[in-house]
Amino acid sequence: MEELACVRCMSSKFRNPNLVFSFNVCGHTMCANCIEVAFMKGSGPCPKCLIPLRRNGFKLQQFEDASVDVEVETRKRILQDFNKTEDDFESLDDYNDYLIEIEDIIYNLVRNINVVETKERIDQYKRENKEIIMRNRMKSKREEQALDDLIEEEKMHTQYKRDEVLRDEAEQRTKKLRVDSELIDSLARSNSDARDIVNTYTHKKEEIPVPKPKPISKPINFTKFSTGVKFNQSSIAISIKEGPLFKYEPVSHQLNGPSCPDITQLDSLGYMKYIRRESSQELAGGFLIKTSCLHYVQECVSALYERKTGKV
Amino acid sequence: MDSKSKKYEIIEFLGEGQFATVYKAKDSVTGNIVAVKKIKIGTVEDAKDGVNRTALREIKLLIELDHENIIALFDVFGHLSNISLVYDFMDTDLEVIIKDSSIVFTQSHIKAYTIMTLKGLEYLHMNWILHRDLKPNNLLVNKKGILKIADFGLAKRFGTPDRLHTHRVVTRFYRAPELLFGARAYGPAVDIWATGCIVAELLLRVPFLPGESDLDQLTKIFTTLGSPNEETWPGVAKLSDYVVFKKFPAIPLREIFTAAPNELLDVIGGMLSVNPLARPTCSEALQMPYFSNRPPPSLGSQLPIPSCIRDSNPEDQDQDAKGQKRKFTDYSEGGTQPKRLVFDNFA
Repeated sequence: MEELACVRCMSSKFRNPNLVFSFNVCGHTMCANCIEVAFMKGSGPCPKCLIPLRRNGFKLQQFEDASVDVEVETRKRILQDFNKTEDDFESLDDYNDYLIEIEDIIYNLVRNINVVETKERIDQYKRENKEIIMRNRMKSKREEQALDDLIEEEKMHTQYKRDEVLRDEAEQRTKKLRVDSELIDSLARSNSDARDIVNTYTHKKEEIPVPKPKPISKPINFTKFSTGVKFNQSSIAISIKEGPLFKYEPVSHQLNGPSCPDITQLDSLGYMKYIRRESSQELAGGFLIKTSCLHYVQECVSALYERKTGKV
Repeated sequence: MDSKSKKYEIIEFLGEGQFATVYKAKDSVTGNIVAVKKIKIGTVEDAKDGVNRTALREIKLLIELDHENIIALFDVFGHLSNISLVYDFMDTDLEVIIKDSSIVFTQSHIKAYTIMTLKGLEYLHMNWILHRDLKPNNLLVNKKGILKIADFGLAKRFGTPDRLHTHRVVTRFYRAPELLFGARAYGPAVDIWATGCIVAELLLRVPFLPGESDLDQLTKIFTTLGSPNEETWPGVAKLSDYVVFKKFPAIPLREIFTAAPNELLDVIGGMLSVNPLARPTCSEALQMPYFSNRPPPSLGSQLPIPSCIRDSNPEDQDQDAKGQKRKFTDYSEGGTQPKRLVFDNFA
């Protein structure tokens, strides 16, 4: 068997059992020290096959054979996109074909067979099944969340149970203590026979009910943050009373006179004929002679119909 | 005249500016809560015309206006040599709301504020009035969530050719580039620019273009929105105070306002065109798709209320906020006319 060794410093597990080995996409293992030195800049070529590698691409080696690790990693990556389930296929045969295809792709990638072609195949698949991929990802996320929730709930349940038992035990203990102290009290003060007193109290002690396991009421299920925002919901629907959409309503003058032309009509109606043009300085300042013209026309026609009504 | 000053019972002192003192008062006849602004006599220079000029301006213009989004002037009365103006009582202003870090603006809130500002401004422009001092501080908001444009101390009629205006208007952060270049003939586009800056401030929660001097203001504008040339702004070099700037490329608005929808960027981009003629009018702006699209603007009752007036009676805290605000107006005053009515402490 090939010995597990760092491709850079050639030291092996046999010589130094404390070495931590990591591997990158090309499958060559390196020890942590060499990665530190060779990938100081964050990226660089693999010392053996010269493939450009990134430092954060290194994964801790878990299996003795590096190729197993590479396969595990590749599989993880591929299955993120090839995430169809049996429900997505019409027949079992189709599904099996699909599984075989996945295995082919993984095998090719791990053994470096037709890498370019295989990558194209993956890309094509991704493009064609974009929606399904997204949907299935969401679905598995949701399933995971539901599972998490379930586990959380169970935890809370057991915690609640444990608390209840502890509480009951404590209660019983205090009751017993009280009976004991009463017994000593009456022994000290009463005039009757000590034996009788002891007897009645032993009876009393026996009478203290052993707490039965109560039917456990459902614990309070915490589904809210202290702010009141629920954390189980993926999307927070806030319902706000909405007003109506804004609709522009043009405003107009109350001229109390004959109607006045619009600013756009001034030219066509000939109002601008005898009026000087703006100087370039005025134009640059945003002054338009047209607005002045409109102002004067408005002033001319306004209040022409006004009659004295006594009010000023 | 004397009877009128007794008609209003002063409830509390609201604030004091350079030219006026503002009180919250109750109209003893109708029971309405109002704000009474008592104009200070000021220097001999100020009172040369008999009455303080800013006050006169404000009275002259406001008395004719009647719109939901414009502050209403109910009454004017004199007492001895004082003159007092009576307005709607407004709880707060947009600056306080923007600065309140406990408030989170939704898209609907921003849309509602912008629509109310533009509607008020549209009405003003339609009546041939330039406000010339739009800033969050002058947009008052009451508890019902209605925004009203206030402070007409710098407002002026426009639309008369050959009448020159001073370019030393508008608080610097909100001053349009043509004013900074010394244009003496300008139009309603200066108010549109200021509104654009306010909308940007609603998104950023800090002043969009906080220039430290007039020149720095221009630099800030051009480094952000790109420097102008004869093509993008014809005739710019003819303006009296024109300064040649290095060529700056415009920063895409998308990079500045990362969370804003595209339609809103169109609105801001239009309002903040360096060429005044390229800016939309209020009516044009209100017809842009942003305003009619979803989400709808918030109802007035859903608009945020700053924490300082949300609490029932935090008097000293209130005073604190006012002190800070006054300080802010003092230093942001930079370069505007000396005759400016500070009417900020209204809320």
